[in-house]
Amino acid sequence: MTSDNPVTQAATPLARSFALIAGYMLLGVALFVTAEILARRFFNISLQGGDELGGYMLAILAAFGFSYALIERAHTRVEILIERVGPRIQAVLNIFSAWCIALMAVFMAWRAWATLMESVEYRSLSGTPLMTPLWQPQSLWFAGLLLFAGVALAAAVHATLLMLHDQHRLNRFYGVKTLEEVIEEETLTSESGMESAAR
Amino acid sequence: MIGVFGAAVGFLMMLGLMLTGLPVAVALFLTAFIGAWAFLGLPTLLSFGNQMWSGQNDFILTAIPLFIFLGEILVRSGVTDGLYRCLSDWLRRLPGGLLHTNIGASTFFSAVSGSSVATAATIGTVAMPIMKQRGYDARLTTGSIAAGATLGILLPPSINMIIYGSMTNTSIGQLFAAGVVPGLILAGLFMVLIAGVCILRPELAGPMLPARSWPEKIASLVDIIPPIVIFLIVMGTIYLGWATPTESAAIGVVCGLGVAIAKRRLSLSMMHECMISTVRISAMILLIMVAAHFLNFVIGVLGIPQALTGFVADVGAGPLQIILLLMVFYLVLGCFMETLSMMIATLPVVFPLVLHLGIDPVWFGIFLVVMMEIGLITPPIGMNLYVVQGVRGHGSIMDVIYGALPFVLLMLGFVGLLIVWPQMALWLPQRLF
Amino acid sequence: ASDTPLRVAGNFSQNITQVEIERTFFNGLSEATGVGISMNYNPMDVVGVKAPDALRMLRGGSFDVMSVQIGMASRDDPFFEGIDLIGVAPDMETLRKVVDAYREPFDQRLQERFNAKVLTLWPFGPQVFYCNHPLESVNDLRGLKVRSFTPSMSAMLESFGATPVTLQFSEVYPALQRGVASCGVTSPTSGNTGNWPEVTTHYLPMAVSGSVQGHFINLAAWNRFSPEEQEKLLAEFAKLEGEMWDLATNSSSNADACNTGQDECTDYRKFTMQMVQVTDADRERLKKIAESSVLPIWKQTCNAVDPQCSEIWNETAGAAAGLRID
Ligand code: NA
Ligand code: NA
Repeated sequence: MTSDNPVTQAATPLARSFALIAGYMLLGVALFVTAEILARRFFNISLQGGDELGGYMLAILAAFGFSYALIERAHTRVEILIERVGPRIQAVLNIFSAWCIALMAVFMAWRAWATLMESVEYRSLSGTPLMTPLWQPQSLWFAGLLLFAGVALAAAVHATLLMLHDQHRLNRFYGVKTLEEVIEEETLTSESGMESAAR
Repeated sequence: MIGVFGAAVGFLMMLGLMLTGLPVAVALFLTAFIGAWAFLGLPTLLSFGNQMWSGQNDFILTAIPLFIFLGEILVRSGVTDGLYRCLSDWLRRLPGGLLHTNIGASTFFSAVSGSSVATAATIGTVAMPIMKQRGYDARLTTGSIAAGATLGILLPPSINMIIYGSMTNTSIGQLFAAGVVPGLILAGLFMVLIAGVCILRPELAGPMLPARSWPEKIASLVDIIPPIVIFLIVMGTIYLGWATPTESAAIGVVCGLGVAIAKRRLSLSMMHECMISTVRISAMILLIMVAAHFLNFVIGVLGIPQALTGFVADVGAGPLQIILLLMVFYLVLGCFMETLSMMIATLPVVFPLVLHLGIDPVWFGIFLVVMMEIGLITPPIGMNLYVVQGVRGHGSIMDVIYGALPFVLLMLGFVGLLIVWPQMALWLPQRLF
Repeated sequence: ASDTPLRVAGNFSQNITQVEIERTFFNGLSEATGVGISMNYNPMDVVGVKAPDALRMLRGGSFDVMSVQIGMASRDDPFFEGIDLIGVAPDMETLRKVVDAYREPFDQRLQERFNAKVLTLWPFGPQVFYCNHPLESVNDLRGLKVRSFTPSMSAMLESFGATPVTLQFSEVYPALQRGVASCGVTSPTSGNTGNWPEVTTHYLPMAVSGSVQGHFINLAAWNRFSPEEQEKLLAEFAKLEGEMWDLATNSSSNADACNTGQDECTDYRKFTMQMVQVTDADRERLKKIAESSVLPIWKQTCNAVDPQCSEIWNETAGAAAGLRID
């Protein structure tokens, strides 16, 4: 979704914050696991739980990242056919795609909620030495999936509205990324490295 | 439960859904959903939440975002620029000059990057301007970068190997070790190919770089230290038994931060850029994995792997025939599919067959990774081709495609070598583990 | 009448012997009982199902029958872990008494909370130590890094002065090889078929638990069978259970011999691990640890879910083993 897309504009602050939080959790796990290895190797102390926390982090990072990746149109699509059909068919395919993503996201959030409720009902504890109550990491995980469902649903509704009066914008907002956009993204990383090198 | 014919229909349906432009993850999920709905009933669908949690709450897969994060930190610290400059001094006399630097820099960067596309973007950005300025042949330049960068997933660390290992319960440490020798041999073959072409047609290469003074050359060696040290620490902690492969990724990130601090590039905004980018790329991969995990479940309960294994046994095909068949299958599929999705989507069906035929899972992992490397540089869908063309920013994509073609042929020959000489991959892991 | 479909998730395929017995049993179940069944059997890992999810999937009806690793599945109800707590049963004979005593309340609770019924309960075999570090007695576990997979095992290891390390099963072999862990705990047969003796040197056959497994059936699936059919099925499952107990008892001693390179070794791969003698004092110490740390911790966790928990245990399993939780 491009920057003048109202859905993107509305969702970006929240989705970006979620992604940043996930990034800090990743950093935290990297530091904790390194400390764990060093403590185990040199002091024969087992801090324990790095693998467990790492597992929760991964599930939460994924859930927190889905909506941001959606806004950035980063979810991989095969563009080979869709690029070769006329704008009208393209618009139909893009609507189909937007609704399929939305339904998948809603289904994920719904089943995640059911899983969370089961953990609450059974007061499930992780079967690991930390004995973490499972509802704790699963609540964060569910929150991420709920945001994903919300953003995906908003996008699908918006795409459907656009179908009525502005198919061009529909294809621009919800279509496959153009080659230029993909490349811009893939090289951004290196360029920022170059820029800082030049400074 | 479901025969080979039904499975083939399902597979074609999945490809069809992908062709409508659905995200790959959604196409996989929809296929699994329809299969479960039609044949397994509602309870199976409703168990998706617990399966999703168990599939994602997995420490082994934590290595994926960690290695992506490491790559982001290193690139934004400017490590690659220094690396390229240094190698261009040392390799300038070889026939083909800077073309060898492309391969060399790709090899070094591959040793710390888990992804080929990231390697292509990184090396391409550094190499393209200077090569154009010195009049190198556009096809050979772009081809060497696109092909050289594919080493990113063969030389450890490799995100694709982590996913393969976790999906097939194969030791990731052994897979990493198995990639080293083939990776170095393939890099060597790339250089031989470049040298051969440039000896026959010297006009394709630009004039030799002016020599720098020895003190300067020696001083610039400092720039190849970070990737080598990080590689040695990551692989060394695995080998010495300090850490599991996943844990070593965490150490890699901490080392990367050390490099960023040493290069005085670490800042809050740089850190945030790295994080956001890492989360975006990881989430994309992990959504595909969520869907693939569910598809794997449905395929397994439907008995498709057994059906396929039985079918192959009836036909009477041996391991060699199957491997050659898979080579053609992945070559064709690799033309049309993004390679990571290709591996994840096919493994649930292909791997039980491979195991049944008594093919070594570590060897097969390497075979699959090389086939994925080829897929990265075959049109029409070849991410490395597009990335290199994008960095280049002018001319026709056909230049890149033609430029990569000799490398594709070389790599197909290399797969043949891997088949007749499996020890190339298996020797090091057997020595180490 | 048409065949009743039965979707079965078997044990993990790395447990080669047990899975082979299971597979043969389920595929022959229809013929053996004369009950029309269309069988769909897959080991759990082949279909990508994780052990801790077993009870939830059983309750939801994703599978009709599941081979459940009770230790892992106790995540959703610590009561089930009570069937095989660390240090309670020093040998398979005692374990069988404990399991039989606990079966009734176990089944009742499974029916109430997870809509499923017990068909079999059986152990993998005594859980023993494989170490890559010289060892003369249990006391030498002090200071070693030992792979742990349950809270109560960690409590036991800490009482021995060892450092518990958490690792996924697939990581244990390389971890032992490279010294990330000094010891792993598993059954004599599983360790042998998993080639653990390749990467370890000292073998300590002190049984800390039995790794009890079970076959459970979803109640809706169970009620699709007529009472006569149910009776026939129960009789067959009882045979399966007996076979699994025999396997755990007999093959364990043979695997002991094979792991340590003795002449009696016939059924498994022969290795040359050094046998560490377990004394009565060692067993006594394990029992003390069970009483002082494992059981109280379990009581705390289990009674938080159901205050009756430890009382039921005392009357059944505890009475069979001669232990009490106060
Ligand atoms: Na790499
Ligand atoms: Na391709």
